[in-house]
Amino acid sequence: MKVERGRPLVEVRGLHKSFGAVKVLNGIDIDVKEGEVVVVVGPSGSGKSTFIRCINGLESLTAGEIVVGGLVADAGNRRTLDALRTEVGMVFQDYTLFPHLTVLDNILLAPRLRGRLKRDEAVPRAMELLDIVHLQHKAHAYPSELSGGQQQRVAIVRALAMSPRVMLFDEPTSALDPETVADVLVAMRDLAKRGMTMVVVTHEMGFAREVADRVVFMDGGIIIEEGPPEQLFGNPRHERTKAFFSKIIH
Amino acid sequence: MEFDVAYLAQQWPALLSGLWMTCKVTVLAVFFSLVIGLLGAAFRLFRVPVLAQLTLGYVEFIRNTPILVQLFFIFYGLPAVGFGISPFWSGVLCLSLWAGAYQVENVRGGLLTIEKGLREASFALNLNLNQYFRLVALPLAVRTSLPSMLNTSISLLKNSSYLQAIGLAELTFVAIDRIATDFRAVEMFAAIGVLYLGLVVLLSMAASVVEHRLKKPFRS
Repeated sequence: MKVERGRPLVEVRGLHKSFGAVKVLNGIDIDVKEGEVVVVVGPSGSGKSTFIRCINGLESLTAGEIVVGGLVADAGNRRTLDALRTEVGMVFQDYTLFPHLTVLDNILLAPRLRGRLKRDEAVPRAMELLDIVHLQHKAHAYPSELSGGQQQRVAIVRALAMSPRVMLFDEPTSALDPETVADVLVAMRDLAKRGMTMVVVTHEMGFAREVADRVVFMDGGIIIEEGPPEQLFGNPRHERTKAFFSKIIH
Repeated sequence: MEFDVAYLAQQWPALLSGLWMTCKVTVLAVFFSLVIGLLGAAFRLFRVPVLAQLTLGYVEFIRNTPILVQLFFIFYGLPAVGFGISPFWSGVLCLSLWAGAYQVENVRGGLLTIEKGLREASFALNLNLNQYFRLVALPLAVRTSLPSMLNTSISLLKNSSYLQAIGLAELTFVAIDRIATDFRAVEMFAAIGVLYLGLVVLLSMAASVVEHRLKKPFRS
């Protein structure tokens, strides 16, 4: 699937999302270009996670539209959901590896189901991907034998194995021991360097500053302010942005 | 009257044939009860219209009525409406339905312990509901509920002795039949007690082999 030249890879228009009477997203508009790294920050409860969960159809939309590479993203849209989910990889907060499968089989499960590949045919590529996160030697280990950071790196590889065009990260380091956070952030930085389009929800401001092309500050279900990291961190225009950053950056 | 070992040796062929019948009925019923358990749990978990409600009603009915009533209903009741089946298949049907109700709850309990995150991760990887159930949820649920599934299977084995009431020549039937002519109650009941115990031990050993294999991925 080709995206028209100049057209953003991810287009979000007027996105609203409510859970019952609770309004979580109140009109989000944003474009993400191919190869761009967008970091979404904001206080908890600001709707960051819900926003990126809408992008791969884990949540249905209350109103508005999301188009990823020409495919409509909406959990209620069965027609495009299949195609969409092979284009959008996702890494969750609690590295949700399948505990009964080895690292290799975790990575191979989805590509084998989708491509009807034999296991042997899919192994070389999986090993290649594992090498990117320096975990080839753990290919035959089970998730319980890995540290949290290692599991999260495997989760990244598992998502990459579908050859997605966009990767979503939902607080990928929040559940990790501090000493393993760095390895995961390095893996994500490497991924960004390879030109992967990424939307990252995180509280790691160092990562945002170093890797993001654009930082988006969300609060109360809307985008308050967005721009290059140096602008948002150094010279935020909005009062709420200032207040937020003054609390978390010391 | 002394404990007559020679008498037992003489009755050994009869006991053996009863044992064989008990094993046949048990193995078949354990198999069918597990099939019922997996299907019923899936119906309940995915709230399949009609089937989920039927499963709920079935489980409640089985759990709240005596197994002997269920057995007589199948063996004496069904022929009255034109579905007569042999004592053997009546027995298999009764034990399968009885244990199946408990297996539904066992498997469902296992499924409920699976983290929500695994389901979302599966969907994010473009697995459909069926693939998620077959490849992720079920293997994990079976691992968790294996001890309770074993318990139900052991109860099933022991409950197969009720089938003597419909004239099926299983272990208990053989014992009672012999006692009616030879009056050697102590020897006979001691003998079948030991045989039942042996079967349960074998069943437990088989289950622990399965459990060990399923647990492998979780050892670190």
